[in-house]
Amino acid sequence: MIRRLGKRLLWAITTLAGTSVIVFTIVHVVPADPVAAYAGPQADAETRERIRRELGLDDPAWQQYLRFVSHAVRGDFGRSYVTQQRVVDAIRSRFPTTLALSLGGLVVWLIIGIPVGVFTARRRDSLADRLALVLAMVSVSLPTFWLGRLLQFELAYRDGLLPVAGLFSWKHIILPSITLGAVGVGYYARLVHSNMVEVLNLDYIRTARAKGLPEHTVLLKHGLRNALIPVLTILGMDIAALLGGVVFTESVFALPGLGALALQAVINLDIPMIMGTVMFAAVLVVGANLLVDLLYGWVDPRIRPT
Amino acid sequence: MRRLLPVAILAVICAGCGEPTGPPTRRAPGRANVLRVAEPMDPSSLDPAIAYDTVSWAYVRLLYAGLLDYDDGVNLVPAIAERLPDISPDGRTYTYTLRAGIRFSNGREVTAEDFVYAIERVLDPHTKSPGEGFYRSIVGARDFQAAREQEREEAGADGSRERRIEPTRVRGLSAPTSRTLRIQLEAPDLAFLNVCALPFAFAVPREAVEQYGDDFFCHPVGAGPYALSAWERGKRLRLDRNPRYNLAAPPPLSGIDVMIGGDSLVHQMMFERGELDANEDLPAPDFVRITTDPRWQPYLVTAPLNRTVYLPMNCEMEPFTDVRVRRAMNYAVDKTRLLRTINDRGVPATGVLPRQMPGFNAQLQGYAYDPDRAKRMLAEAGYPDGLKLPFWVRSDVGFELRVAQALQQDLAEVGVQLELKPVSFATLIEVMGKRKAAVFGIFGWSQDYPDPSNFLDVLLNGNRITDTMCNNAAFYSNPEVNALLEAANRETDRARRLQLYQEAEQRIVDDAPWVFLYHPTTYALRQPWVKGFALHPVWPVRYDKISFEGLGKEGAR
Repeated sequence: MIRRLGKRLLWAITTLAGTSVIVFTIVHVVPADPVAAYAGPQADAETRERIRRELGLDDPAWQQYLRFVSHAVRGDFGRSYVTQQRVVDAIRSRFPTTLALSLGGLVVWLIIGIPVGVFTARRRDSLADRLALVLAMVSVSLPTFWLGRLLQFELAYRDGLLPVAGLFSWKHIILPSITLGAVGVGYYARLVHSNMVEVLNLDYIRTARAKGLPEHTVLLKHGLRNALIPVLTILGMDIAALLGGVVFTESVFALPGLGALALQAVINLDIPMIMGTVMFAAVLVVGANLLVDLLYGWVDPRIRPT
Repeated sequence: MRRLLPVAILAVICAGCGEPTGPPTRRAPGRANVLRVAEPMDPSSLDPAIAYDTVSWAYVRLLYAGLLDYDDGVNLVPAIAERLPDISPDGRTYTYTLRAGIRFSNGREVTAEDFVYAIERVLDPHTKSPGEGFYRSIVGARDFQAAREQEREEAGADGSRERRIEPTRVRGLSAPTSRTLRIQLEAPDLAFLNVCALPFAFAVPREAVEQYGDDFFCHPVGAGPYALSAWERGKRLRLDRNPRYNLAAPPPLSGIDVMIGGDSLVHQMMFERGELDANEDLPAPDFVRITTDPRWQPYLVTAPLNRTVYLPMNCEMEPFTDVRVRRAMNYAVDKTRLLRTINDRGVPATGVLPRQMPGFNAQLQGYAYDPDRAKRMLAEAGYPDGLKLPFWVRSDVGFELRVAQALQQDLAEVGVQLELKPVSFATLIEVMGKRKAAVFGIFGWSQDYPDPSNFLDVLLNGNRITDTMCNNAAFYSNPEVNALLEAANRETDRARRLQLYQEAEQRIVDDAPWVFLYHPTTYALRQPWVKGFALHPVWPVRYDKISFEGLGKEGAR
């Protein structure tokens, strides 16, 4: 178990190091001047040169990278060129919003996706199943920013049922969560559906039924638990997709989250903030995958490490 | 079944029942007597030495005060200074007398030494102030900077910042008494009056800067009408009246709540639901609806910006080394049609200077739309079959892309094929400011202060050309124009000075290093209960003059 965990951790560290090299290279080969992000477009050449020296941007790239790594391992990603804020402080203050939004989206995925999947698997080829299939297709095809704008316009602006934007109460997180969740609902409903259909045809389900177990026990205890194993794997990988979707949702609803922070950083070529947010997201994704690996073993005893 | 789906979707879409119609009649709940506005992003900094964008300046000037300010137009008026400075006969020494008893929000009286400290701080390379260039003309400024850079080299980037190497002060800055500030310049420069009114020169208390260190940008202490109460990044900024403010009458509103985030569409939705008291950026999709609706007319506020949008043609690169090609480009563009693509939010430019700028020349003819003449001139220049040019444009600003597409059509009519190169703003600045890198593109320049030198000298003086990061994106250099600009910069007679700038501008228009496109106009909306809301030609908007009226009990919520 420890050996397996060690291997996984080593792989995670390699992934993070690789990510840092790739992102650092990209932001440094972009044909744009990061000093412009700091000094604004109207500062003269002499001022920009002076600021470049102060920021250490005139040093060779390898030296800048080593400086970045030596600070990053101590949890210091520097200060934003644009907002002057410490990158770590910015991430710390914005992560709760992104987490709340992601959890909201996740809840929408699972709360709607799993029951719909189980229900439609039980009633295969019924009218409800077909309707669910069509709605699932629609849901998967919806662009987040479009759905967000639509919900915002209809439910907040026209009807005044919920706030338009910002984050000043729990009500402000409802529309963004629905927006973020809607895209994944259809996918998870179909995933659970197909897994359930497969599982329900297996011998042990027939045995369970033959033993006279109540149908809900057969479905939920024997069927769903096994059907969820592949879902968990996909879910781990989808954390990345969720964080990606967060960028648009946060921007549409003016939420002070990591997505909006990263988007602004990229637009402004704010190197410390880009490095900080990307590395943080990378840690999240790698961590989520590690966790799913462990959970996988718990859910499916056959692959539990010995 | 399949027929039901569109019906269901339509039912959801058409469910709206409380759609706002016209200006709101009631204010959505919020803090009483507090203005609610929104900004798309945080101010970059609330440190006057660092802030260098319009969003930041709008708030920095509420938190701090300087020697001079502007009236409702572009005229300088005294602020902490008792009167405009006494300028020595050689035009090089400015002596300010400060008003007595003006206090910072921490309670301490503002002295002349605070201004010396503020300007030295801007000049100190360690501060990394983007505005240091404005103050390099002070006697001894460069020596002071060289000494600080030498210290940095000796101590390393993370080393001590103690000033050890002489000169430790800027020789041309002094405070002979607590209320007298003397500034000596290397050469006479009347624009320095405007430079004294820039936020970079606002008074800052040394003790607060030293207390907060690198975090001073979010712990502002100034002598302005408001003080910072809270700043949650990406979420909200909250200012409350500075109880120690005594520079003028206290502002009518007790505070300002700024929601951070969201684009102009979101702000407009919130505004129409009464959640904001003003919206300073009318979104393009709502523009026609709002501006043609008579119910909104009384609450629409509009003002020309001191900004010029132009197309620099690189005079060091083919085909723009030939003035006939540059003039042909000017004749080929139908500015009136082009402005229609952006809802006529601007006025056509005939030259470099915007209309509210001192020295604006109303007699300047510019180039009228004449495609036939453009074709003839291109043929004379050796391009009878037209030519193909790359055209650099910012990709993240929708209206600039629309303008570029309109230009594409206009120029195609005279045989010039534009190949659009949409890039991020950071890339555009890099490419356009690099020698012989970009031949043609779209750029804009907003004033730092209302003086013609801030356009003509900064953007078109050939003596200022650098190989990279060059503000003269056309790389235009005409020795006669350069000489005129240098003479105007040194001229101490105001009328003669403006005349020299006008002569230079006329030559520049004749040489056509740019396609002189347009000066944008800005549109904002205020709620019926908001009084005193006006857009300002220098500061984007002055919140300190706004009051609420006619809200009754509702206003007290």
